[in-house]
Amino acid sequence: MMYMVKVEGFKFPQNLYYSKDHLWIELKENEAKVGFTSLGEALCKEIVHVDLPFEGDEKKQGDEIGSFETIKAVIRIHAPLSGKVTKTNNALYQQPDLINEEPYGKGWLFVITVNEPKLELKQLMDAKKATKYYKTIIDEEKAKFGEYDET
Amino acid sequence: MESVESLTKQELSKILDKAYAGTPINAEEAQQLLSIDNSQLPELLSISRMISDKKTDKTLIVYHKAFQPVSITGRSCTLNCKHCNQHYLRHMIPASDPEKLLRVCKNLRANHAPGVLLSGGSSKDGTIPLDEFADTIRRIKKETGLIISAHTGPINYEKAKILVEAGLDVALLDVVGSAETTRSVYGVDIAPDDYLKTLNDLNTAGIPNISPHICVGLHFGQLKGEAKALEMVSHAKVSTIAIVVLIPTKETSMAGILPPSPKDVAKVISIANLVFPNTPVSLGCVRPGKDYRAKIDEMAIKAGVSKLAIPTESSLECARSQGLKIKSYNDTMCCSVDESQLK
Repeated sequence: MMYMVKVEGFKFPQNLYYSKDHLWIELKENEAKVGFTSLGEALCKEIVHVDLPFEGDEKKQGDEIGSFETIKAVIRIHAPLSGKVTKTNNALYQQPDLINEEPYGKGWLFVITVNEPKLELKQLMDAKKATKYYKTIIDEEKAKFGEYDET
Repeated sequence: MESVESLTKQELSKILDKAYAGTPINAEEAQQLLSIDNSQLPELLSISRMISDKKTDKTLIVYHKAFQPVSITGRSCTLNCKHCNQHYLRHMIPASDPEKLLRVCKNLRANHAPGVLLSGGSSKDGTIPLDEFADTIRRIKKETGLIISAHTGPINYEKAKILVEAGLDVALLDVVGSAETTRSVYGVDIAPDDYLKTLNDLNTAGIPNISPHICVGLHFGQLKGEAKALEMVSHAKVSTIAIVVLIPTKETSMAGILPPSPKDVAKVISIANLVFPNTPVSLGCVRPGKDYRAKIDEMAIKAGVSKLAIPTESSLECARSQGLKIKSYNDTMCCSVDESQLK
């Protein structure tokens, strides 16, 4: 069973690591499965197209590794850890909205075989730190635009 | 699509030679070009690309983030059009209260946004009730200095004048070239001539930038009024012609239809270049997703689009391979804004 932390309705599984640009990382030994958080996809609204890396691409932590297009913006994503891309979720080319519908499930993005997980993990956040950080993002959005639930 | 006899090789060459020499093609020729078969398409694209190169100096302008859209009607719309069914109101910040609208715009300014897109649901006549917010628009302009862009709908001179005096910078007007399409998709009777009247009223009222939008495939995915729409626009003074593409949107009655083919989109862009040899033609942000989006974008580059909103990676590679220079707006900017409007 996956334990979730909830922040204002957005879910963050406890077993994952998180980046400041809304990526989640599931690390199993040297394999990191990467996806987009429920907050990230909600801020983007509908994702209509994805550009994923190619399998075999070598990326350093922080390198641009892909992008999403929504109706109104291109959102660049950066490698959360250094390593080699070993798998990409090609289903997203036909169903990019899987990221919106199942951000922690079928909407995963890619898998990286990482070089130095322990060293680079310091740049990421665990669920506790992440939820504190994401709460500030939510508060900033509210402060910017007020409540969104006008009918 | 309206039935038009296909062109012979000689007839096609004659039209393309005329366009390349710098003479805009007329309505009849635009309609004929829309009917060419796919074997004739490369020739059209090639001439269109050359015309575009002349007007853009081989530079493609790309926009990575559009202006924040704000709905002045909140989540409500009277029309419930077949292609939208209020879906796209969900992408906008709702601000149907003047004070909230001002607050949202001040926050955009505080976050370094250069502009805002005022939009919303339509009234029964297809217009968006912007004139009711004229005082707020005036305050937004005065207190934030934002570039104010707005979807107006087919408004008249009096309303256009109110908006000019309030400080509207850019009027975005969806132009539909088929009354059958407005009736069957929007559920209102708006004839192509009504759009021409609005374009002229906007001109006369003195809106600094009028950027008509033409939606390829609005008629349930089929080409229908696109050439006529271009003809209507050709009679007015406009800043940018934005081509957008029908999205078969979920939870609408068009959810299951096929969008127009990338080749049809490329045809419309090419024809727009031939009708407007000196005006930028943009592929706007509204177009379908998935891998289809990359195909549309690449065809648009080949067809000589001058501006591209929210580009796919492959479209940028395609542009580079065609020898184009790329000028990027990485921060918020609307493809309809004229560079002369930027301070």
